[in-house]
Amino acid sequence: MRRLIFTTTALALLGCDNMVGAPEPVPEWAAGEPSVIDPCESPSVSAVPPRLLTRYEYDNAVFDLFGVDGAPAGALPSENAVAGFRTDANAHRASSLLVERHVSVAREVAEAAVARDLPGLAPCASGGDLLACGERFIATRGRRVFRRPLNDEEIAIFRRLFAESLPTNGYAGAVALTLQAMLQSPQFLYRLEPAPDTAGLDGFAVASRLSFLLWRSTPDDALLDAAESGGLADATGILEQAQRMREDRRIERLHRDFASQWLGLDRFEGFTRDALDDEQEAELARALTDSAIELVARGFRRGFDTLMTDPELLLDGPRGLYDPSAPRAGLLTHPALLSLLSSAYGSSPVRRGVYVREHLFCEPLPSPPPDINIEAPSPDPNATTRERFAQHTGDSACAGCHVRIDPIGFGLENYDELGRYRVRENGVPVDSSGEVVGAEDPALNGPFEGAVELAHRMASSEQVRGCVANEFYRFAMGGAAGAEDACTAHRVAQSLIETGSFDAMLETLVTSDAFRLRRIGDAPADEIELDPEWLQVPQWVEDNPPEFALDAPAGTTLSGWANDVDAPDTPLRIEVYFGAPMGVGGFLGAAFTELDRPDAPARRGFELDLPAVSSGETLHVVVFDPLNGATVVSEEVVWP
Amino acid sequence: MIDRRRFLLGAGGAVALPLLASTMPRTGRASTSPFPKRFITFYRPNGTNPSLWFPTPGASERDFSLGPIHQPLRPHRDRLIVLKGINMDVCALGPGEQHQQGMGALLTGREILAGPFLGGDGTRAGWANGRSIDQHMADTLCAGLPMRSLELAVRTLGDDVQHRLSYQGPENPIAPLDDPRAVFDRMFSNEGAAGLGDVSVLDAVMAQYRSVRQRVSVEDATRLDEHFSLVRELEQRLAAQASMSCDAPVVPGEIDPNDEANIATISRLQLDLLIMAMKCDLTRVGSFMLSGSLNHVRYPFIESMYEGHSLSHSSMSDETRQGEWMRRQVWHMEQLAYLLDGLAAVPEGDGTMLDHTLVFVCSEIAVGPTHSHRDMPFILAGGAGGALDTGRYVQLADRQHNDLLVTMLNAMGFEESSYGHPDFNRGPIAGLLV
Repeated sequence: MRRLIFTTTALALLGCDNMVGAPEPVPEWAAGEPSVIDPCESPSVSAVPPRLLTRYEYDNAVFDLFGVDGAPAGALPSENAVAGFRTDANAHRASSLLVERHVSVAREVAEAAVARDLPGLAPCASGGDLLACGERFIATRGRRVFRRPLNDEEIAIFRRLFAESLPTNGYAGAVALTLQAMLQSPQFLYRLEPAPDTAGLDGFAVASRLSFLLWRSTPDDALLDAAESGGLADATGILEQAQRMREDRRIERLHRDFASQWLGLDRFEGFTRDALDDEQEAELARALTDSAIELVARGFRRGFDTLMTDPELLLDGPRGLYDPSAPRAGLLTHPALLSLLSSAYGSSPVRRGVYVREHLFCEPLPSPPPDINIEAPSPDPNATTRERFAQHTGDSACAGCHVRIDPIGFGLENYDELGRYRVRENGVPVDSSGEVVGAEDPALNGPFEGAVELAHRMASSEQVRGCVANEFYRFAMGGAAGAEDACTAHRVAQSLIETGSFDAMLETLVTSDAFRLRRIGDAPADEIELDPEWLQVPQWVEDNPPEFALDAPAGTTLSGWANDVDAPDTPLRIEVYFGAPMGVGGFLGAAFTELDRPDAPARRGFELDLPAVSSGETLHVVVFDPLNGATVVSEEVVWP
Repeated sequence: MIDRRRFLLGAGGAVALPLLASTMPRTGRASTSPFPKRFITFYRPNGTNPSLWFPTPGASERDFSLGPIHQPLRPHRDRLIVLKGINMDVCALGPGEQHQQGMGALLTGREILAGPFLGGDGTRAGWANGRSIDQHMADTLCAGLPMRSLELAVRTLGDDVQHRLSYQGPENPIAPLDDPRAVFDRMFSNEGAAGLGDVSVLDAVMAQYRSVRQRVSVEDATRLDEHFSLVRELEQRLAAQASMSCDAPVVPGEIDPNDEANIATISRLQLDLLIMAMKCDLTRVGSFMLSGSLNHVRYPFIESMYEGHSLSHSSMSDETRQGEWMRRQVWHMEQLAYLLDGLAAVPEGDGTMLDHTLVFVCSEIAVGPTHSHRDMPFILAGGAGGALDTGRYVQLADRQHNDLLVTMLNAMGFEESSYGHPDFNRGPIAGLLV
């Protein structure tokens, strides 16, 4: 059996010779051979807190739910990242700023969703019972938003909000407010899994785990239906859905999200290179980001070897910057990674070597001791980067670690700070001989000539495959594998090591203990009391309907007046629909009766600017009774 | 761009804001002064070069001349207490390297916990193990105000323990905002602030939280409680906001917060907004970071084309590199002077807002090349409502920074006698307060 150490997350701590600082003890289960402790003896998972949607997940969810695009969650504060990953369940938590921003983002999304397609969102037959329509909307949309059917209490809370807001906010407004509340509810923002009375997760929780893993988003109806009919109760059902989901375009989000976090592509924000002007920097940053994501996507489709050795560089970027015939071999030679691991004025063998060691070998390195001078060597027009950096390996205080770092970086010196291929630097031929020293996997060790040779060596290394699987596990599961996840982490890594297939790795993960089980023994929380008032829908009173009239349209302005004798001082809500009456027609806009009317001082007027209406279109205008939102009076007007 | 220029002019004090009269009376808190006390943390990365930082002492504490780095502070010399002899030994309790340890400890007085961050000294660093004093103060100082606190930065440059200063609680850091436009929206725009319609929405949200809480485990409920106690607080603050009137200045134009060329402009915009937030009484607690620790960024506007961190590591005998690093530190102090100028330009009673503010100037390590936590480069500035005895260079012998945290709490009207890790508390530092 292979050594488990490849399968644990970055715990193969070496501690360089000559370095200060005691290494963290390697946990017992990671240090020994699997025969000492068999982690797969009985089902075992560690406790994970409920995961708060990341900005990327939020954006994907509202797009999938309502077709609202434009990345509204960009207005939320950035997630606290751990080892580069923003998905960490312990680090990504609520803050004062976050809850404040959720209010405005939810409002923006809800209003956009209503403006975009109210009839699709909350259909209502013309003249139908608005409250009944609202209830249907709450139950059907609520199931998608909460990722499971709502219980009676949850429905009652939204029904009350809907009914209360109907008179003053109208139908479109009440739908929008209810959506706002859905989007700020814990059932949407958190991936909540009910306190289990057995070890297994229910089907809806599995559906959410699948969709947030593979699509970085909320489940679709097919997945929820499968959950409801028990189709996710066994591995066969899960694999069937996973297969369907892999064939859907939304799988590309998995590649994008993993590539962005794993490679730190958000560091392209503020990308600065002396060789480029601002516009070129921005264009190149975009092109390199997309190209790196595309490479990871190709790797996920075709296998680990493609990720690590693909000779083709697909880059839709600034013309002429990259020589298409230059030697390339996958990730290690990709200009995105190579330029991120450089400074503004030159390549950095140290950063590149450290990245390879930490993120591709999973061998974290100690920081330099505090009392030495670690400044980067100055640019020198007469020397190569390699010559300037040679001091590290020559200086005994540094050599202990740098012998593991620099010779790897030196081997990548054929690529400059933009990842462009070069054979000469400052007129001097580039020496791209390198060496791997002291790696855990002996197959990695030894001299090499240039990045392509190293990339091929890494592609077949069990250590590198296991390491990439570990990085993926951390990203996918919201944190590094805990001691109780050893079996799952081991099997996930083994599947990538043995098959080189990311599909196989994903299949192992989605049918694993850690994915399908939740730790048992958690007692249900103490109850906190729900105000019973919340379950009451307000009773509407019998009253007089509003009086209502429209003026002849003038220019792009629609105006008119409305009054209700039962509430003479309350502004009335006006809504305008096109194509068909409210509930079926498209929502165009809303106003309140807040203007003085010179023709009749007792009447309250309104005005709406409607620049986008075409001539001959029939508009359906409704006014809501302020005491009884279910009563509306409507008028039609043909646009001149 | 015109927008931004107008905003800069406005915020610089050329345009008076018609807001104090309407907001001032809301100060029924325990204080002899009718003006509220404010607390601002001014953070700058990578420690310093002590020989250029500390003043030359004279015959008495009040008789000193500022060090070369502090020259921009000369107009405010009498509003400062420059401190020497304060150590941050609590750092050594936790794992991690010195930047991580220092960032965690600065405002919490606690060590960082073991955790998952790479880049340690062989041990793994996590987040700080405590609540920061600014958040502790905000509970009281900012109750009922539209914002509990305002965390601002210029190019934070990261999202881990090296780049966070404030903590809501243990392992629960607060991300600062880098983009002045986003800060502006948060403070003034109707888009950012919630309307009253949102209050009924939040009522329904709170009901959903109470409903679902019964069906999750204890651990999950704890996480939800953390989130929804903030929502409840937001509801209360929205009610306050509805009755507030503070005219917004001209909205700042779009500016790329990630472009190194914009750093100087963004620093001023952020400081303008911070001053404005205090002036409008939107909040009384704020922090400002000139990037997270390490400061891996160039300052082209002062021709510093190396990153701050490498410069800070350069040998004390390397005059070129040390000179460049000193230029950056002087620029940092110019930003501090700009903040103090701005606070001093707001009249409050017989004095100015600076008289009622305590500015804590800090860095996460003491000495750039060695990264030690001894003789931390701390400065207190402002009057804290008459509580601070300023205009002094105070040289202490081996005091702990936890004691300084307590002293600052006392200056702000809090009665705590300890803060942070109990082993590093010996009581407030005598003589700093009036």
